[in-house]
Amino acid sequence: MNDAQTLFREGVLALKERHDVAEGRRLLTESLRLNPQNEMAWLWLARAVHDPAKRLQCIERALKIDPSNQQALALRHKYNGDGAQVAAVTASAITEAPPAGRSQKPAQGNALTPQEQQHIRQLFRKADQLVEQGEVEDAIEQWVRVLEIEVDNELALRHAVGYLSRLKYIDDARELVWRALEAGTQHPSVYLTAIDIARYQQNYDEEDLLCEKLALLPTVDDSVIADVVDKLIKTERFSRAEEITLRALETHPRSQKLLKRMGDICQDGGREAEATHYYDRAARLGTRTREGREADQKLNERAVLLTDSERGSVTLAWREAAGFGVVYLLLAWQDAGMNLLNIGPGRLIGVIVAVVGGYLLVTATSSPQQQPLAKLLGGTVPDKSGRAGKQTKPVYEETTAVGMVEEPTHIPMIPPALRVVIGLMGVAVLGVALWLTFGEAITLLLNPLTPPDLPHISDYLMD
Amino acid sequence: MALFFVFLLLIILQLFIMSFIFPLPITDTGTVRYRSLPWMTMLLIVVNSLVFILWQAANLYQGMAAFEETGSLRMLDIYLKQIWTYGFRGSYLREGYSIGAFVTFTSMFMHSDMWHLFGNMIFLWTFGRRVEDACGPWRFLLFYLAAGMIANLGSELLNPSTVDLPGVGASGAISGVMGAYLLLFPGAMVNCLWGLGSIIRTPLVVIGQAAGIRHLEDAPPWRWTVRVPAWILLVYFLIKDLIPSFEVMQQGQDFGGVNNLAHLTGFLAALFIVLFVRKDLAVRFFSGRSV
Repeated sequence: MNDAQTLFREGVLALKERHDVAEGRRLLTESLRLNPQNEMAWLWLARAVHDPAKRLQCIERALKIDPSNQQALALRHKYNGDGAQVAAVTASAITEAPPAGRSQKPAQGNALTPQEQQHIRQLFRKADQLVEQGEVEDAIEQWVRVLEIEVDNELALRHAVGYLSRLKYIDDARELVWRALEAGTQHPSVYLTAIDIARYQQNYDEEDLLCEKLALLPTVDDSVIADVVDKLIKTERFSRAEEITLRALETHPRSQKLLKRMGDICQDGGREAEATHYYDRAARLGTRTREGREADQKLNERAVLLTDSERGSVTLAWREAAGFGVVYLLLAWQDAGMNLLNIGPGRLIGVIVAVVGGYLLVTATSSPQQQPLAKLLGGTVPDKSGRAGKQTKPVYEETTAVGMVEEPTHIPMIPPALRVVIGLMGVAVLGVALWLTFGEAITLLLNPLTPPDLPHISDYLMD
Repeated sequence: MALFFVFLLLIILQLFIMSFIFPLPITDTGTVRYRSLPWMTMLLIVVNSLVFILWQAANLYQGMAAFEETGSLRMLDIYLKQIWTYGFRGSYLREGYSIGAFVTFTSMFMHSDMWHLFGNMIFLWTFGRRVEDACGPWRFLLFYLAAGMIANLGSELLNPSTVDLPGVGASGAISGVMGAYLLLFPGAMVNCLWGLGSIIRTPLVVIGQAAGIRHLEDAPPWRWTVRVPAWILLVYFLIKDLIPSFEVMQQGQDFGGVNNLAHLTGFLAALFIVLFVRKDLAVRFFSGRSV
């Protein structure tokens, strides 16, 4: 096991020789944990951190041990001269809590003064110049200063966190992000960055918490939530993904992305009825988007929902009856010698009667829940043991084995006995219509008339 | 038994010849939404087959054998009279002969020979199942009959010829089913027997796999069937009927053979399919969602 001094030496070597800042900082922190009275270690650590507040904390700690340390005094003077404030906190707070006493403002909080805005612009310009010169660490310092003015400045945070992460200063990056979060930022990007860091550090509890907070942000775009959900699904954390999606759907009820993902989650969980419900909701919002098309495609792989508005539609029932009308009109047309002018009133009445008969038959069979007809005829809402909400095993499978699913119904259905009566009436009316429209053909069917010009096979053979 | 195998071999050979240049659809792919057993399609195939086998085939094939052996024309004459009595002729409807307008139905279930029946039934099987699934069996039957009637009416009314030849076959009704399939499922893929297509496909797959096209990673180099987009196939059949139909409309058709005009008008009957599909499907169709 290394002692404090060895760790200190190795830390200094890492910084000086190998320029490995992350490793140097780790070794120095470890050394100080074993021997917090090494003021030189504090000073080296001050060089290994990029947050000015942390840096000053390290210098103060060194001065506390040796108030006459010239190097520490010079450093404090340098950093105080740059305008940074000395944080009166203990060194142990460096990696645990953000420094107090700052005048940081979240963007959604107090508005920035023109002077502050001007200062931020200057800092950004300086940071850009430093990046161009390859002075990344100094550039980070400029962005951090921006964050001291505006704690959740997205641009500064993105740059600072990005470069800190590349330099392996994950803890520092995390701290910057969390300062913004604790200041109540409403920027989804800050949450997403925090989620990435938490995941990188394998802190899944923190990640969960952040995901939930993100999903509930009123400002967050549904595609951001969808990304979070996708990541959770990818890591097979389905229950969490479902919980977050459901909560997000409360604020984004018409989000195709979320509805489609909710459908996916339900499908993966084997809950076909629920999956179909969500896919259907997504598809109904339109099929011009990718999610809409995918949801529609998913629906295409299973039986679709028959909704109450479709069940209760009188128009759709008459549409089917019109099909009978077309068939009977064709019969009448042929029966009239293929001359529409010869159809006559009898056959025309037959066609109309056929439509009425068809409507009765349709009402009894495929549309027994037409509203308000079903209610007027004393219908009741079918219970769940009936057809509604039932999931049946497919009798004929083509490629996928997804069961038929129907949405539970909440509208009354014509009583079964009455349906039988209406159905029989429909059949009888259609029979009458057949006689009216196809009477001549029926007469000929009963008494066929041999055609006079039937050829003999020998006629062809002679040809 | 030997005869059976010879017969089977002949069918395979005929299929190969039929499907070498032009694709012969044998089944559609993809999911069937409602997964109802397509018993009406099966029933129609059975009825068509039984009508031919039990009623017509003996007269035709035994009659041909009898003619060759003994010179007897009796059975062939019966077969001819069946076609002329129960096939669709305009004069029967206009002048009230035979069974009048009922010939529109009898003609739909009659076929001139086994290959006529076989060709029609394979198309009915390919496209009928999914259309039946979209309609439900009874509405599908109504649509099938309506399409057959429209095909018969169209072929009679649009043909200026005065030669009143009888028309038989389910192809008009089946054309309606194909048209409905085109309207409802244009994006579906159809498995086709297509010798030329299979031969062309093989080098394309091999080159694609060598080029690292992910879509082709698991594709077998050789397949007996080729997947063709339904809309391409159906538009091809439509165009195939279109030009001869216009010729018939201009000049009339005084001879037998394929009734392209009936196919075309049957195809157009598909416009009525929206009256026969399930109600939720109709709503999806009109709202632009896939059915």
